[in-house]
Amino acid sequence: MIPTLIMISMIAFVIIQLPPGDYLTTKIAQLQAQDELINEDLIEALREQYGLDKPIYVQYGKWIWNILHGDFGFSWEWQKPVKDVIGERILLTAIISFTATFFIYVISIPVGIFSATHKYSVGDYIITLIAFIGLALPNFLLALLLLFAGYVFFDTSLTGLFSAEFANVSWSGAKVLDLLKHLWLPVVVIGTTSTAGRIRIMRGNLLDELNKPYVVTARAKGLSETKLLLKYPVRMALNPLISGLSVLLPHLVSGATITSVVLSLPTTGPMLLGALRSQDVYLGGAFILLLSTLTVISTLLSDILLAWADPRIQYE
Amino acid sequence: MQNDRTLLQVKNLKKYFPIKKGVFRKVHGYVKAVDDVSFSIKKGETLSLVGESGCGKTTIGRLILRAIKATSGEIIFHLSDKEVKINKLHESELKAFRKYMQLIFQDPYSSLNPRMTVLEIIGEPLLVNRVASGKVLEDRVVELMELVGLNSKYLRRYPHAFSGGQRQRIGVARALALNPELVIADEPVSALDVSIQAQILNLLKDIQQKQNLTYFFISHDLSVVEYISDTVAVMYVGQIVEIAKTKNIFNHLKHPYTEALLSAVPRIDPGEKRERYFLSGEVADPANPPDGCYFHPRCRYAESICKTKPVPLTEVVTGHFVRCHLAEELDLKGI
Amino acid sequence: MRLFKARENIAKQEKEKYFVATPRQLMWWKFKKHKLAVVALYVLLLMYFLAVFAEFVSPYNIHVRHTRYLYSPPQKIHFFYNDKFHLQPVVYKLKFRIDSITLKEIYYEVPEEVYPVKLFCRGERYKWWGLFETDIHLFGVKPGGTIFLLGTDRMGRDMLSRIISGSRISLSIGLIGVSLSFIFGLILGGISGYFGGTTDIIIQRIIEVLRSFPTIPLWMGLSAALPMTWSPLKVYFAITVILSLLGWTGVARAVRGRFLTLREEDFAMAAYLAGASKWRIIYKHLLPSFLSHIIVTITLRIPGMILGETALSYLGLGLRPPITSWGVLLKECQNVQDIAHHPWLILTVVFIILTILSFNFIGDGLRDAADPYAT
Repeated sequence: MIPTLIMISMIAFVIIQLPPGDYLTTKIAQLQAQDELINEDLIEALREQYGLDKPIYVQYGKWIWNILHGDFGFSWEWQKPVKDVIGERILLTAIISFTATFFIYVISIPVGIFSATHKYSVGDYIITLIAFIGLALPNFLLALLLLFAGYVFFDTSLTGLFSAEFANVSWSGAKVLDLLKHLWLPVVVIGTTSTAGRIRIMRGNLLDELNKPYVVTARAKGLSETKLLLKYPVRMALNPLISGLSVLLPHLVSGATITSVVLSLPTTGPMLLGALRSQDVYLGGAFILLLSTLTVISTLLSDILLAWADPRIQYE
Repeated sequence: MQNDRTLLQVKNLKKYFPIKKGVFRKVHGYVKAVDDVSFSIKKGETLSLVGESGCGKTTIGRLILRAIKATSGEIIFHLSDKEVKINKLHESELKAFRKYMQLIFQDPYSSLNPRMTVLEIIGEPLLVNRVASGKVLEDRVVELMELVGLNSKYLRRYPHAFSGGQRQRIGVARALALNPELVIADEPVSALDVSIQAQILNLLKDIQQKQNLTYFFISHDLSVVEYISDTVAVMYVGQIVEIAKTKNIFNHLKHPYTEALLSAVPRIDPGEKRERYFLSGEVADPANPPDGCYFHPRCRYAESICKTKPVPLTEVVTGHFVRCHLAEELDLKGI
Repeated sequence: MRLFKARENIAKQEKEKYFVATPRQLMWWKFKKHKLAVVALYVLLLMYFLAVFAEFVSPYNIHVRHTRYLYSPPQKIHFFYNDKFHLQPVVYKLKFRIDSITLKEIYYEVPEEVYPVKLFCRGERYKWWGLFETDIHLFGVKPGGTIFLLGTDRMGRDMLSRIISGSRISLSIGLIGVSLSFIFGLILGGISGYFGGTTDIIIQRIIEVLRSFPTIPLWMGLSAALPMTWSPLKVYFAITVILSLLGWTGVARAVRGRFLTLREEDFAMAAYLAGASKWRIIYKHLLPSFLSHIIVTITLRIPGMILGETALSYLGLGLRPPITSWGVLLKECQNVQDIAHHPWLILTVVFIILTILSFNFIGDGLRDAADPYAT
């Protein structure tokens, strides 16, 4: 896990350093275009401070050293330490992603079970159809369509995570309630594709499992259908879903990034986009690093969960 | 018809698989899959190797074929004009030598590539060894198919068109394509229905007589072994515990393990009263075998000497080798 | 009795046909059983046909601005006009008036002025793939009339033509991206499975790291790094490479896994013992056995690639005008007002969803057909 994180941090740093020039050159060009005076001394001081004149590995070393000491650098664009800018946004991204995970499993498992136990019934066909469309519908398109529907049918704008009066005030009980009221849309948008996919997986796995001899034996011995279903086949069919958790979270974080741009949520997406556009190196780097770390940690969690759920798997 | 020429000689053959653990793949010990095995096969004869699964039978087969390399020991192949030490061959020499020994697989399903026609499957050895191609190859394949009792008009069919028994015939034809001296048959009938087993065994016997073939036959089924072999070797945990002519193994056996195996063979005569003798306990772990005789924890005759002193393979009667301290004292019942 | 004999004969022939059927035939027969997949296959073939013959199929040049028809809504095709039913479909003349309050154009049709929709109609000149110059379009109307079946955008460009043209970029990016992933994956997965040991561990580690990256932020970072000065073609290929950068990991894993299991198969061992070279074993025995599975894997990856391009272009990090791709077209729907006032702009989504669905169904059908020997 640690080597993975180190490699991720390197890749993240290289990516944000890829564009030619750096923030300062962009800034200078901007100032020159506006015919403003350039304070050479200030520029030199900034260059010095961030080691912009040093080779890339020195810059990386400085960057990672500071991060280990809780300093994520300075956001040029926001003129604030990165830590202050992103803290709440990362938190909100995490909240949305974890809520979406919850939503996905709560919906997909029962629906998948229903679909498998009612194979080829009308309900199963409807679910299958919806699942396929859900799979084909990318997050941001779904977001657009929902926004459109909201505008046409309810004449409201469904964007944002907070109502206007809560947007810029500090946290309180009322604000949390307000958040919960707005949370459902992004969660649905981000979760739909994965829910659809998991319904299909659950259905397929359970069907495979239900065909196994032990189920026939249990039925022949007179076990009730519910018990027959829940005791082993469902548990077995759940394993791939649990191990799929490690792929799910990067996927959700990904989806959340672009969805939040469409829905203008105060999460990481729009800010990352802005940071990348204006080459705000430390801000962009911190985002990519933290989002990746989030997913690495969740992978670890899913491994532990799987080992707990399936005693045959041992963690070496 | 046997000409008493030894075809294959195996001397002190050993194969230890290292057990690797942890991140650094450190070797933590060895599985002694084949532990000091010696025997020889005469031209035109059949030697059978019997034992429980996991005792190292298949490994010996693969070692002779050089599909895996032995840890130590010698495998000597006596051709009419030269001697070849299989374990010492270089990769390039080995490839040229492969035509002298071929394998018949246990599973007639997984051993045939489903994406190739019968012609391609049987013809592959001929093709890759540049023995034949084109029309000549086809003629040879037709000849082989007739030899193993397959209708040659099925030449262009795929394996999925055939039953298990027919598939095994294809496997036999493939093994015979290069006119090998030695055919190693790794449980060739155990995956087949009993009624089909006899057909394949008869086919193998017929071909042996026609072509003076030598078989190294691996099996766990003593009734099959009794039918086909001249010599039988019994294996337990990587070692040969008894080796003798077939009738001696079945009538004058000397090793308690052989006795246990024989007593497990089902008989037809319901009136016959006999003592069934079940083995208790588990097969010894080849990574960590017990001291003394490997069989002693499961042996009903075991005495204190068996628990401490390792047993050598000794010739008790001429041509009858046994690995047991008590071989001369015990009076074991055969069939 | 004779009839029965004939039937028996036919059954025999059928059986023989099955016995000598090549793996490809078996797969096709199995695939055909998946009706949705077959339908999806035809839909996709049609889409790719449209993409290839985009200039011919679309009535207008995608860059021509019909300045008198900004944000024109989709026009309808009429069979019933002049109070009668006609076999010759027509479109009405489109006119607009300015709303006195919002100052917006309000379009209305003039049923008195009809323009017949003609097949193989002469229109704007174009060079098909830069090869043949002609002015024949699949359909169109005489000058003076307009045929905007899916409306126009804010510059008065025909949306249908733009969507068809955009499919050329969006559909090809999926194929090229997947081919690149396939090549990377096959080589690296093959190396990993074949050599094993340290090489294997290193490649597996790299895959692990790449897989734990959230795709879109990584894609965003990489495409943001593309210099603005690059030519559209260069950007197109760069985006394709970026999309396949993560895609190969899945292929590599699948290849490695299959390689390891198949290497242990008896038939591979048989070929080895027969004296076949390693190369022969790989291309004659291993590759055919897992190629179909790999094709399933990559088919199911194409939608992701297409969506990746769409998403990046939508965010303004991917392709940029003058390249027209579906993502670029969707960029017009940046906010709710756009969609609310000009809902036809979002019709691109229909094409995207149709494509994605089709690829998913085909992948599903291929998965069922991939192993024709499974019972």
